[in-house]
Amino acid sequence: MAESSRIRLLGEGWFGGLAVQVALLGAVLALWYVLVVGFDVPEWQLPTPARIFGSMVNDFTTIAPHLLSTSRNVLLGFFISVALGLSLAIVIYFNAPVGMTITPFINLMCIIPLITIVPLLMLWLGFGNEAKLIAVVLQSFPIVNLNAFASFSNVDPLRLELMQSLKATRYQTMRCCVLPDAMPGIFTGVKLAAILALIAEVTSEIVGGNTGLGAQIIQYTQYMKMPQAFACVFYTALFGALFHQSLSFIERQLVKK
Amino acid sequence: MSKNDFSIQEVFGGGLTEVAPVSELRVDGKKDEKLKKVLYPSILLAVLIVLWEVCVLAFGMPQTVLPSPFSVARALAVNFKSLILPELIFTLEIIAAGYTISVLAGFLLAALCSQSRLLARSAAPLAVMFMVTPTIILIPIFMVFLGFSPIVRIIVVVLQCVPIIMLNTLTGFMSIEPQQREMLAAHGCSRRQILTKFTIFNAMPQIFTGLKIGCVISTIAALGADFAMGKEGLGYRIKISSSMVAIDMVFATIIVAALVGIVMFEIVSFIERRVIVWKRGG
Amino acid sequence: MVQKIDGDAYLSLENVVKSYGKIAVLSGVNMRIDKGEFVCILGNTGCGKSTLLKIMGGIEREERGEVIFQGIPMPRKNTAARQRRFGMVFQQDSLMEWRTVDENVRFPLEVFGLRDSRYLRRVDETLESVGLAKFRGLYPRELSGGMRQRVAIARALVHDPEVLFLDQPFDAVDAITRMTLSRELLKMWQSTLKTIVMITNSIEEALMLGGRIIILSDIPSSISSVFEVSIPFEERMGDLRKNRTFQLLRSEIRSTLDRQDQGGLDS
Repeated sequence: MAESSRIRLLGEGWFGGLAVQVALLGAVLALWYVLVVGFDVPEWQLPTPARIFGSMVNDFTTIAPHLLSTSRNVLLGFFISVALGLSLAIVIYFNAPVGMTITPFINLMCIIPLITIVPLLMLWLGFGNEAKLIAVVLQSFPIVNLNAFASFSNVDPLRLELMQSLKATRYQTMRCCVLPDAMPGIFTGVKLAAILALIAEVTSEIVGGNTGLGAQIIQYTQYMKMPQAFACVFYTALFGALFHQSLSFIERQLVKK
Repeated sequence: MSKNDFSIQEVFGGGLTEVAPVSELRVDGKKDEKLKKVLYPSILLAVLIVLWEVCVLAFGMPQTVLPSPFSVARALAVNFKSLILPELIFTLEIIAAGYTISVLAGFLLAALCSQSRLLARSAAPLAVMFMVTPTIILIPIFMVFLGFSPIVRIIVVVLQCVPIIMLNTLTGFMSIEPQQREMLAAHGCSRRQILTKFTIFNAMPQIFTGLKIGCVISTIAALGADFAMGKEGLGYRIKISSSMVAIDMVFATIIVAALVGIVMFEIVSFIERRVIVWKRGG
Repeated sequence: MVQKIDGDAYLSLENVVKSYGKIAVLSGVNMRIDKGEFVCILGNTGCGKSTLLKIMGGIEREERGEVIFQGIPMPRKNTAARQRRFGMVFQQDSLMEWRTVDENVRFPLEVFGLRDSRYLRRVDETLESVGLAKFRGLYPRELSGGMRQRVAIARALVHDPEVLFLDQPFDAVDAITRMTLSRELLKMWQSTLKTIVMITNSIEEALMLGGRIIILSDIPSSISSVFEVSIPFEERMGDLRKNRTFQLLRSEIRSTLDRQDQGGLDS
């Protein structure tokens, strides 16, 4: 369908588009600055972007361990989810009875807000990383599984027939035929899972956390340290954006043929 | 060769597609298969519940760690009206308001962006930025300005949900294949005719994908907001029940929250099946 | 069967030039098509046949040169009024998945604003003529490739166009369906005497259908040769391979195309 992606978001790309994006972001920040200064908004309510960037740099050493904690949980949970979701999808694909049994539950897990389990998990496992990790995996892996399986099922039947006529093993069929065709759909699920993973992690931190950016934001706002709070917000947004871009980049490498 | 239509894929590298509704499995049409598809999971469910009950009894689990299914059901029945219902209504209102606004805003923004490639290319990354950031982190900050107002929750839900609906709708609007463009040109269709006779229908599947994902996201966002802000909502009830170690209530409320998600999703799926009649066939 | 009409050609191209960016595709194509002719265009892959057809049919605009239809240069703007006179069938059927067969065939009538009962009857007639009257309530998803292409053909005919353009319309269907569909097309032409311009990559198909065959050279293309195919209609529908004219022309055309191909490789 689409020709090879001509536009990259970061780095090379259509100069006009990139310039506009940067300009828009810059405009937003500039407007922010002007509003804060113009309306003389006190710093404990809304600090200027400059102040926030400053805090991002100056308070980095304090924030860093929390950034690390959040990132670690998200990435670990995410990878587990992808591995679990994909392997389960492959199993279901080759084993119809298992599929019939499990798929409704997976569908259900995609639809219900699994973060509601977080307080329960914390009651059982304490406020440490285990509960958060489990929450992340629970929220993320179903969507990977769902999209992966849906993509497997939508593979070109002619190619499947070809594989059959060549008496290809299951492994070969998977590797040469199903997986490549299913990549776009798999990545859709993967990127959604990434978003859900970060949401799950941050929500867990807010529910009961000592560590993590989410917990820190609550801490900072309680003490009215707004620049630091915003710094954490920006770091979270930055992490989310980088995470997403990396996945898009990987996708382009794997899907573009 | 007519120009390839701009694909939003290029901007944010791949659309968000296909979340299948609960009832969507590959239907083979054989009565046997259909029966199996209901029977097998039901059996598993029954087994799990029985297992649950057995574990509780056999291991003598204290009710404070793992309540029996029976006591969960009882807690649900007893406390529904007094404790759960008011919170349920509150959270439902938040979700309804947030989702509705998101859908309207999402459609509007997508319609605007579809008019100009420049606008689409600039707006899409901004939307992606909001999509990939958990808006729940903004709550403590919003609370400084707005206190405990429900508006904070609605804003958070909307901010999390709008980008998804907008991006999927936009993708739907902009994915017209070159050969379809040629066909429309062969009939000399005006822009308005293309929009009303083609684009809208062509976009329907993708639009509904966005609506379905938006469902899930808005529920998650609303409940997360409950957690962050406390005082009201299903999430609050869960949190407070767990802090009181009233685990049967925790379970009960979680089930209610799950039902909210399911019902909402099924409503959207139902509407989808009514609108997109052309995919079910053969 | 070729009907030569004296006077101005029905549809003619004069010095049509077209490039895509730096690539010159069509360089000075001169062509005339008379009313009621069935003309087939042949050429090696990538020689710009589709581009040529699209220019004739109003989907693409020529860079230089003129397309003259019924003595009047084609209006520059692509409008429903201008397109009303043409019907186009592409390689891909481009049916609208959300419309039934019936509604897909009605589409041109909607766009062109043809509400006359005569046209509504044509919906039935064209569906009958492509053999899909029974399937009018089905969605494209429920049809085979051959059936979908038939719907596309019905759609191209429903508004009674003056010229029918087909771009390798039977490429996406199997060989048997292809034979069936091309025979039906020939029969339809025989009874309606519409002007038909068709691109095909099959020499045999071109000989069966076309009263005249135009060979396009490799890019930058122009008309390299024209062949008159004087085979009577009855023999076209019969066992064509036994026909002497058919055999002669077939080898002549084949060598023409082969020569072009080699020429292209050398230069």
